[in-house]
Amino acid sequence: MYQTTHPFQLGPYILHHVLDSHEWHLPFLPVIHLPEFISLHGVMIIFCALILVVLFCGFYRHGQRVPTGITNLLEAFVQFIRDEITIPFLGQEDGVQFTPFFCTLFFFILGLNLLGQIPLFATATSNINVTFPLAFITFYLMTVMTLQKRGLKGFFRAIVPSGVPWPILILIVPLEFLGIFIKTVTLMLRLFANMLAGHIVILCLLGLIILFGLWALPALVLAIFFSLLEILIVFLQAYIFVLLSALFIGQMYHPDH
Amino acid sequence: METFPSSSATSSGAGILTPDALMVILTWVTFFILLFILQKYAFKPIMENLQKREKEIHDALENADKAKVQLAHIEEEKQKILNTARAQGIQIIEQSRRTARDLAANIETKSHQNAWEMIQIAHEQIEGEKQKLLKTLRQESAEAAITLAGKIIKENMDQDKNRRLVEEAIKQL
Repeated sequence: MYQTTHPFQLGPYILHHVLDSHEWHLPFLPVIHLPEFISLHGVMIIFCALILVVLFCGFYRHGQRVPTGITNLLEAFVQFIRDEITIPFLGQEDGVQFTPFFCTLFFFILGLNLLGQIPLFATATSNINVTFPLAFITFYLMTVMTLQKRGLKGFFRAIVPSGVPWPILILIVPLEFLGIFIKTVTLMLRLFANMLAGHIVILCLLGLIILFGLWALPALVLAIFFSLLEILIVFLQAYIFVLLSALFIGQMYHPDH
Repeated sequence: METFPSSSATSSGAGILTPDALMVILTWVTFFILLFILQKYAFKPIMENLQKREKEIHDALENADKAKVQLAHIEEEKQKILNTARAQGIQIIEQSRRTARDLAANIETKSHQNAWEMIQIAHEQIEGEKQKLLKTLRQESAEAAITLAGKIIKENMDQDKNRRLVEEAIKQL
């Protein structure tokens, strides 16, 4: 009904904000038209990478005996990823070796998620074309790297659980093999859906204010609440993505554990 | 009134569900460049720092434990030395007390002896003086008696006879 009486359309309003585009709307400035080869989400990815490089190469103080400030914060994150994620799932040797990769993955996803929380910026992780390549890296490590490191025998040992009677193996082995793909897809969809859904909820609430004016002002409180919840989800999703990646890779590398 | 872009306008941009190879490649390239840079310049040094600090803390704790054990040893040694010193001190005090007592006893004996000797000498001297005095007294009293008797009896008496009588009388005193 509102479509006929009100010039504002909620559906396209939300889609405009969550979809990727080649335009960047900034306040008091003309619309920035991005070239064909790069979209707004692409800009966010490069921007996030630059922020991370500046943060780690510019603000991190090497050789501090007692770390303080940002150095302390970054070290706490790295230590957490090393001690709570990589080493428990991948073992001491592989865990330490893979820590830089998982740290990069964590900070990259966290940076992209957090950029999305800032008004005027876009959430690149709510784009399946961003979450897919990230999940594919995990898939690559689960399959090709396992084959390289453990060989075909090691790869099959990860798929074929030990101590299971052979009739059940007929059922389990294809499922396990399929599971590798399913795990990758869930990894990809979980991050994408969470980041997209959070924004859609907030935009719905803000759209209500535009639609109904001051009558919908309580929705603003809800929108603020959801924004705070989003900040939690941003950290949680980055953590979950990295945690599950480590878990899946660990299951392939060390199936006995 | 502000106008909002229509759905047709937004659909012209790259979709979030439609595959976009360029975006996928961009994500990979950015991620791997970032991984390369951060691994080389950030995470490896950070992890080395962490390991170094962990080792330092581990060593410091170990050293603290060692120091505690050493301290306990030192405390034990100190107690031993103190006990020995105390025993030696008591022994020294006891010995000196004994020496002092012996010395005092010695001195006392010697002084007694000296005093006795001195008293003896004094006695002897007194006796000598007494004898001298008695002798002198005897002579003088004899003479005085003679003189007195002479004066009393005057001329009727023989001088030699009288003297003899007086001397005999004195001897009988």
